[in-house]
Amino acid sequence: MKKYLIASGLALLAASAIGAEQITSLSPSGRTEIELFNKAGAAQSVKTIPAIEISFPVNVQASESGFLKVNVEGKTYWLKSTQVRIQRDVVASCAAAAERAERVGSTPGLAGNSCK
Amino acid sequence: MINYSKSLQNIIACLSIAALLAGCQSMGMGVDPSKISAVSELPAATDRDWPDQKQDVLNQRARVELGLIRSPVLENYLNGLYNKIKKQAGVPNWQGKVYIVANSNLTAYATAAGNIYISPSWISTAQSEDEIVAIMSHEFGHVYLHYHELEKTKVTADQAADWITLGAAIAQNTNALNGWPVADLFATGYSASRDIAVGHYGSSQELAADKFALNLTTKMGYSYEAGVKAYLEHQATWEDLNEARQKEYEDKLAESFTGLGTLASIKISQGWKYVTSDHPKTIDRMDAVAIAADDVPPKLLGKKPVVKPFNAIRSSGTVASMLKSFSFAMKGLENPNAVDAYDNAKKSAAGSNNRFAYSAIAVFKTQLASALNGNVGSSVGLGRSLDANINSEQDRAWKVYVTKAEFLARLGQVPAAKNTMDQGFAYFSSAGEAWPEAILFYGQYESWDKAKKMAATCSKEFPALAKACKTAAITPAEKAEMDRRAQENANRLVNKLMKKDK
Repeated sequence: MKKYLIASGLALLAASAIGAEQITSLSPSGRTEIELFNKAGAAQSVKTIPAIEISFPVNVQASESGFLKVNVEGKTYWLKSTQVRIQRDVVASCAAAAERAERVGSTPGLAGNSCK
Repeated sequence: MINYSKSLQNIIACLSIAALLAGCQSMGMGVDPSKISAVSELPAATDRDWPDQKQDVLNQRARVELGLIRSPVLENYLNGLYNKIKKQAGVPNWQGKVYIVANSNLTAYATAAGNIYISPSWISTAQSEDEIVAIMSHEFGHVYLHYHELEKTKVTADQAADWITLGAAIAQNTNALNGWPVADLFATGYSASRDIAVGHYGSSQELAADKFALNLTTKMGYSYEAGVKAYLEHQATWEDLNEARQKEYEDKLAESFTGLGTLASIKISQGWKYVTSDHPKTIDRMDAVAIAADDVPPKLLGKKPVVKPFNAIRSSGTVASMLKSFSFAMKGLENPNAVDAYDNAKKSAAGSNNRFAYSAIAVFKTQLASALNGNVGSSVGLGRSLDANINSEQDRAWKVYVTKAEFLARLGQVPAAKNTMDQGFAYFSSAGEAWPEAILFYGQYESWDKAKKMAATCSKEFPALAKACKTAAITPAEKAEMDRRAQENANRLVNKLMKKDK
C-alpha cells in the first residue's frame, strides 16, 4: 500500500512545545477519504486520497476560507478544514486545577477534568 | 409487623439504573438530548424557579480553591457576548452573567442560576471570538435545556437512599429482614448504580449541548470551524497532553514494587471513572458534531472568524496584566519548592493584582516553602499576602480564610485563628461549600460537640453537602474506631477466604 509522503511533524505531546498546527486525523473518524483542491475555496476537488494511505500528523502550512494548505509528495494542495481534526496550541496547566467538584451542584464543565 | 423487606425492595427497585434512566423525564431531567439538532428550531424554553445569582457567585467563591477573578473589562466584553447568545435563543431577559474562575485547567461550566464560569486558560487558549461564543453557547445550552435538573435528581435520590440504608440497618437489628444484605452493601450498590446512570445521562447531555452550540453560533454568524470545532480540538489536544503526562507518571511508578501497588489502585480508579464519566470522549463528541455539521448550510459554516475585538480585549491593560499575573502564579504553584517559585509568585502579586486569591495563595505557599527550605528571610511577613485578598470584599475567597486560620492555629495562635475563621464563616456561611472546612476547624480547635451540631444544620440546609459535613464532624476517636472496625472486617474476610481456599 502506498503511503503518501505528506510533510509531517514530530509527535504531538510535548507539554508547552506545541508549535505549528497539525492535522492528526480525518473528521469524523469514520471518514474514509479526503478531497484535495488546487486552491482555497475551490468548488471542485482535483484528487481524492484514501484515509489509510495518509501518514499523520500532517503539517498545516496556511489557512484560508475554511481550507488548509498542505504538501503532498512535493506538491501543494488545499483541503477542507471541516474534514480533518487539527491539533491546536493550548495555554493551560494542572498547577491549580483542583476544585471540589464532586460536592457541588453545578453543571459539569465543558469537559471532564483532564488534570487527573 | 411492618414488612420492611417488601417495601424496601420496592423502593430500591425504583432507584435502580433502569428506573433512574427510564424515569429521567418524569423526574425532571431537562429536555430530551435526542431532540437537539444542529439546524432546526430549538425546543421552547421552559419556565423555572431561578436560584439567586448573587448567592451562586458566593457559592463559587467558596467552592473554587483559588476563588474568582473579578476583571470588569473582560467581564463586560463576555457579558456582551452572553447577551447576544441569550437573544439568539429567544430569552434575552434571562438572568445570568459570566465570571472568570481561577483555575489553570481548560475549564468552563454553568450553574442553574444561569451564570457561566470560564477559566483564564480558555481566554488565553481560544483563537477567536467565535470560539469563546461557542464555549459560552455550550454552557448556556445546559441552562437553556434545564440540565441542572439531573443534579437535583441525584441529590433527591441520595437522600432517599440514606433513609433506605437507615431503615435496612434498623430492620436488620430487629431481625425484621431475614437474609437481607447489610446496609453498607446496599449503599455501595446504590452509589454505583447512581454514578453509572447519572454518567450515562450526563454524557448524552454534553453531546446535546455541543449541538445546541453549533445551532446557535452558526445562526449568529460565527464560524463552525473557528467555533465549536476549535474548542473541541483544543480540548482534545489538552487531553492528549495530559494522557502523555499521566503515562509518564505511571511508567515511573511501575519501576518500583511499592509504585506498582499505587499504580494498581490508580488503574482501578480510572476504570471506574471511565464507566461513570458524565463526559463522552472528546473524539466521540467531535465525530458527532462533524456529522451534525453536515446538516448546516455550507454558507453558514465557512464564515471568517472574528479575531480583532477578541485580541484587543486580551491585550488591553488590566486584562493583559491579569492574564500575565495568573500565569506567574501558576508557575509558582506548579512547584512551590522550585528556586524561582517565590519570585514568580511575587511577580503575580504586583500592583493591584495582589487582591486576587490566586496571587495571595501563591505568595503564601511559595514563601512558606522557601522559609521551610531554610531561607530565613522568607519568613518575614509570612501570611500577610492573604490579608490583601481578605480586605478586598469583591475578591475574597473562602479558601484564603481557611488557609490563614489553619496557619495561625498551627503556629499556636488559636484565638487569632478562631477570629479569622469566625470572620470568614460569617461572610460565607450561606454558601454550603464553606461548611465542611468550618466544621472540621471548629471541631479541632473549639469542640466536637459544636462540630456535630453544625453538621446537623449543614445536612438540613445543604443536602448535597450532608455527607461532607458529617464526615468533617467525625472525632479522632470515632475515626480510630471506624478504622479499627474496617481493619477487623478486612481481616475476617481474608481469614474466611484463606479457610475456603484450604
